[in-house]
Amino acid sequence: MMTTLAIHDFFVRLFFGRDADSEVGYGLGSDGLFIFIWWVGVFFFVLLMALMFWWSWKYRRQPGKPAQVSASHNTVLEITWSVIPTLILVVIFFWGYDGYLKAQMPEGSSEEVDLTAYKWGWGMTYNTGWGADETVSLGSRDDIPVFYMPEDTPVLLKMSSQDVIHSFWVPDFRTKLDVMPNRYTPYSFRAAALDDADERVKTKTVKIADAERENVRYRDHWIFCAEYCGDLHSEMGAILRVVSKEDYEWWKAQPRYGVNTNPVEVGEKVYIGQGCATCHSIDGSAGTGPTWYEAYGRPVDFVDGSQMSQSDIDADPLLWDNYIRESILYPAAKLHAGYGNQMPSYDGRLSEVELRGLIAYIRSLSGLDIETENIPGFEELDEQTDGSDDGSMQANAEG
Amino acid sequence: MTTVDRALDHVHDDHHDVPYLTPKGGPVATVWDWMTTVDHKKIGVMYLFSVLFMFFLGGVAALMLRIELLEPTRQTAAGLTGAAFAGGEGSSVGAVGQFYNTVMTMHGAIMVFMFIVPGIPASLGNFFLPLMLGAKDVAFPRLNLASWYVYVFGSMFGVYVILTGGVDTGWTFYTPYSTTTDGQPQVVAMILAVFVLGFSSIFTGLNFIVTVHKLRPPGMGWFDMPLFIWALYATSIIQVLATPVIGVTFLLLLFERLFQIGIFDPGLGGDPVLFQHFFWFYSHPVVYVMILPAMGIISEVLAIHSRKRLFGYRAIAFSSLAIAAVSFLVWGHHMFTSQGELAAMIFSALTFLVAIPTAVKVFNWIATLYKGSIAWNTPMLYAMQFLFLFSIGGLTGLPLGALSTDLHLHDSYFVVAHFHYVMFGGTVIAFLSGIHHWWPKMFGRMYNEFWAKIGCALVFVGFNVTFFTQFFLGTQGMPRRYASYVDEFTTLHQISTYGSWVLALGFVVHLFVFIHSLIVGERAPQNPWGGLSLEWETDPVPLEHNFRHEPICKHGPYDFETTVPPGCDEKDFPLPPQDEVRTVH
Amino acid sequence: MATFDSQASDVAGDGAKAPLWKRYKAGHHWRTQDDEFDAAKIGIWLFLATEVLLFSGLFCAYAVFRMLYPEAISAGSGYLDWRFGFSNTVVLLISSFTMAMAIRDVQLNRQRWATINLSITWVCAALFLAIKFIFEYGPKWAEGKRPGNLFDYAYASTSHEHVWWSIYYMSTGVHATHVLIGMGLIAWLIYRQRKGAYGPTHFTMMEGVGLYWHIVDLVWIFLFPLLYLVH
Ligand code: HEA
Ligand code: HEA
Ligand code: CUA
Ligand SMILES: [Cu+2]
Repeated sequence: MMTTLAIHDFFVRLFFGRDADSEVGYGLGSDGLFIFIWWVGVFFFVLLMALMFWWSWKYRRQPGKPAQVSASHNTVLEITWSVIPTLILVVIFFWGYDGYLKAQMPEGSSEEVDLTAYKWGWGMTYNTGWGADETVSLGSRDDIPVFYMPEDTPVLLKMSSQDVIHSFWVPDFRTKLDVMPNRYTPYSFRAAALDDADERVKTKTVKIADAERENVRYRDHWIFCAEYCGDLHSEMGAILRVVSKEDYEWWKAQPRYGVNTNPVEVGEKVYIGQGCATCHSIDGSAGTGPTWYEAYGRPVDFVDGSQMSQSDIDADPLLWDNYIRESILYPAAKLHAGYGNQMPSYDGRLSEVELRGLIAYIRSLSGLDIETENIPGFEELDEQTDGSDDGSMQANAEG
Repeated sequence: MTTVDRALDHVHDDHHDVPYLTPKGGPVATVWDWMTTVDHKKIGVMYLFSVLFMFFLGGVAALMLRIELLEPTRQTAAGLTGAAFAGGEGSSVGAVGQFYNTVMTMHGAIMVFMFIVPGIPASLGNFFLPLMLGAKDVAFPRLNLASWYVYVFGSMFGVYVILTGGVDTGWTFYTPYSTTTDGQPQVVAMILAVFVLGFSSIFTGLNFIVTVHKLRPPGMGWFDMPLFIWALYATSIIQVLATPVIGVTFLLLLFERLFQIGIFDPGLGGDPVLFQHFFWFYSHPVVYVMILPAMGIISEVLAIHSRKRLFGYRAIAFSSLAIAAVSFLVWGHHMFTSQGELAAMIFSALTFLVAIPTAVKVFNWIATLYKGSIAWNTPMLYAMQFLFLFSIGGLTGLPLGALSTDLHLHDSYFVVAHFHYVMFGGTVIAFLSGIHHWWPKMFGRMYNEFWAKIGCALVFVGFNVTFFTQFFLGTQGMPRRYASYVDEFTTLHQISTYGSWVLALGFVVHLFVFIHSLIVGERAPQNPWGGLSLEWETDPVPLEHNFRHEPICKHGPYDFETTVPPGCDEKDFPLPPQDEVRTVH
Repeated sequence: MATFDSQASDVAGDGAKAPLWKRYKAGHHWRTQDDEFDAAKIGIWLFLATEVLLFSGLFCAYAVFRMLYPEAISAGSGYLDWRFGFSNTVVLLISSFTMAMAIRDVQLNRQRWATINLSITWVCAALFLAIKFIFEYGPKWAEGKRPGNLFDYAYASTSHEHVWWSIYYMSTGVHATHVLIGMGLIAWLIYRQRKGAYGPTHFTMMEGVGLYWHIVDLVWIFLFPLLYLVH
């Protein structure tokens, strides 16, 4: 018994590196099935190859000697070797179907997180409204997001794509699901609990803006995009970081910027975190949407023939700020000439602070003076109504 | 067993009694003669060279892929291969990733649509199907030539795409990516190419079915046919029934791409998964279009080179038809991650159903070797290599067909390894076996057995090193169609790349063996292997009209125990004691 | 090297006075002329099978979108005037009938009648296309009832009408292309038949085109109710 287990472990390790970190894969789950099929394969392969090599050597051609006479069919034999594989295949089928159902069915009362895929990145929105905060690097990119997830808790990702089909795959969880542009698909998993014997489990201090939490134990898993989606398909990765439930609750509730965060920095965070970067460049290069580089303060022609002229801009210092605001919340309202109506609306997805941050960020890309005055924190802002101008924006627009 | 004497020999004019390879006058006249020929043999040879050329192009693309994957980051391709790649500069190939993606697409599309689908049937099939039936030609010779021209025309579109910068959709053309990616003219050209190639495929398939029905020699019943014919017949049925569906799919895709008609584009209310269903409804059956003719070759080669009647002839023949039929019902196994539970369950079950007739064939082939007189020559070595590699390829299809494991393995390198084991280890290896087996009959010359075996060994080693590693890459989490990867996969990828160089070396050796044989090869006898099917009754190089006299079927294709092969000496191919034969059967 | 209809054999043969069809010789690789005829017929039937599968792809697309957007499909078919569809059905049925008659005529060596029947068939095909383009495609396109992104109809009542029009134009368009090809083939038949190429012992090409024409007709018989009548 011990040795069988050891042999099983050996092959799991050989093929997968280690045991699965999810229920669907672990033990008699899909890893078990895989190893079972492996043994079936080995059995038949070795049997057939042994016969092939043995006979083709034993009966190799010898000059002047004919082949020996033997029967050219045998009904019993032929039925046997049709029926035995059939029975084995029936077992494989049901085992696989059973595992598949477990992987597909979300368990009751699970943690729900929204996931969006786009060319080329992943965004998650937790039920606190926040998304990822840290990034790591992968290949040519250093904006690979880190998503925190609770250990040993059923999680349901409600996935959708903004453009083409992508596929969400966490190899350590042994399951993947396509992310579609025209409907939601559910990816559910229960990440294995953190085990201190596991060398992958590490500890670190997590910082989010002003807040800090020490001794966060975590384990990282790769997220890959498994459905081909173009240029950066191979760098459309992300990290899924499993932490304890308490750490997770803390992490998802922390505001991503503090009272002291510079608005431009807030804007930059949003630019990367919310996927603006996919379409709008900040270096003047062409993209799906107009570049932000030196855009602020310049005249714009619209698709419908109307325009925002230099004199209009000079006359109304808030004209550009309002234009940006409108374009983010209702992208179709004014379409920049030369671009299609492709941007999704961010109405309800960005807070007032974030909107202002974006405006400040775009303004900074035109080399305009940056307002360095602090903007109010998240909670404070909610109390003020958004009509109240804090004046700083105005001052800057003139600069 | 067929014992038909035909008293009446056809009266024929002497003009046609020359070997088909004999040039017709000067070089211009000869070229003209080949370009306008309706002789199935010449068309078969032209097809053979065309598909091998395409294989070469696809192979070069493959080597470029492997070079890029030597390192985890994206850089090699831009520097090393980028310069070598036609249209590398000033074309629409933009970023490095795009470069990899276009090469990957070209590799897959060339290999599937321009090499392996027409591959065996249009080259060896065209040449030998009429000969094995004792016929003078296929049923519709002009349609046959048309098929070749359509093939060349379609492939030109493909080459145009390569020269102008390529398509980056992958060979599967999934929407909405394929309808939105850059490079409109290239994508359209590629879609047209596949559309046009479909016609060539249908022409060949239709021609073969009719030929088998109407041009069998009288007295040769269905079960007296060589198994290669059975395989081609089953293949043709799939080609004729599945190809129109890819035709209409690509027509819709073309209009989607050009006019945004909104059938597949989710942005306009279309359904991208519908495209996947349409695509795989064709493209799954087509994998059996690739493998069935290969299985036919293996049946021939194993029988002839071990001088044994095939074990379970009928089972092999029927399993070809069974595979053809069931192959139409399993397409959904390519879409387990994008469809509903009920569909997934049904497709998984049907997938296992199709594995059974294949397993039966493998058992029969191995049993054929028992008590044979087995020659260790190149065709036979390749046939054994086929059994080895195809078994691995087929068995690794099982975890892909099982639902829970496929959720992990789908779109990973495990799939890449699986299909190279079946397509390369199965079809290409069998193709090589068949080429060596029939080479003497096609070109009237022997090849160098020693160097051919060296090539065979290099291919075996190179192939396994290249692709066995990829199973582990897949299970460990390496997704396919990746131009770059995370560091932990580096070692396995590098081994795989080194393997591909050994593989390429093997092909270079084969190339030289072929060229050497064509120029200075020893003249081939009429029947070097002692085959009994009718193609071995022709002259060493078949005549323009194939046979000197309409062939007389005195024996079945596998009656090695009772028949001295035509054109052979009993000393070389002795018969067993005849009374023993009578008692066993 | 004959397939269905040998040009080469036109010149060869005995008595130059005999009509072409009497002088017809099967391709050299056939044992008998009957074999060649049978082969051609199997070939045509296989080809028809491919046609059926081609259209079944379009029917599947129709079925899928009917499930996805039932209102759009029923609103869409509401725009079609069944009277045009019905006239076209009648026109095609007549042409199918005259096509069959033409083959019969050739078999009985009634060459004049064969010409007349073939000509009627051709005219019916042309009429079909005329009705289609003048009364259906033309006005609809002008009103903006166009497929997909080209859709520009101001009074659309449901959200996915452009998908309906894609299905409509694709399926009837592919069918109309087949009618057009059929007209070319029938014109060729008239030309050859006038030269005396077909008669009681040789009418392979007639038979082949005839079968093709019936399948084109049959496809329309399915398209008509699906597109015009089912709401
Ligand atoms: C020559 C082509 C060929 C052949 C013959 C096969 C044969 C099989 N294939 Fe494969 N397949 C491909 C070409 C082929 N395939 C390609 C090109 C793809 C990828 C396409 C893409 O996405 O780009 C693919 C992908 C593919 C998938 C989708 C994977 C994914 O994307 O997630 C699946 C899933 O079911 C599958 C299954 C099978 C099965 C069960 C067989 C069976 O027919 C195999 C049967 C054979 C055996 C079983 C082995 C021999 C038998 C024995 C040794 C005896 C013992 C047997 C038993 C006990 C059963 N294949
Ligand atoms: C018949 C089918 C076929 C064949 C034979 C091959 C052959 C090879 N393929 Fe394959 N491959 C596919 C079909 C095939 N492939 C398909 C369909 C895909 C999927 C594409 C997609 O995802 O869209 C794919 C994808 C694919 C990938 C994955 C790419 C990715 O997902 O990112 C890789 C990577 O290693 C690869 C490598 C190779 C290699 C090294 C060979 C080698 O075996 C090549 C060896 C050949 C040569 C080296 C040629 C050398 C020839 C000569 C020197 C002259 C000889 C001349 C004569 C004999 C006349 N291929
Ligand atoms: Cu996203 Cu691949
Ligand atoms: Cu398949």
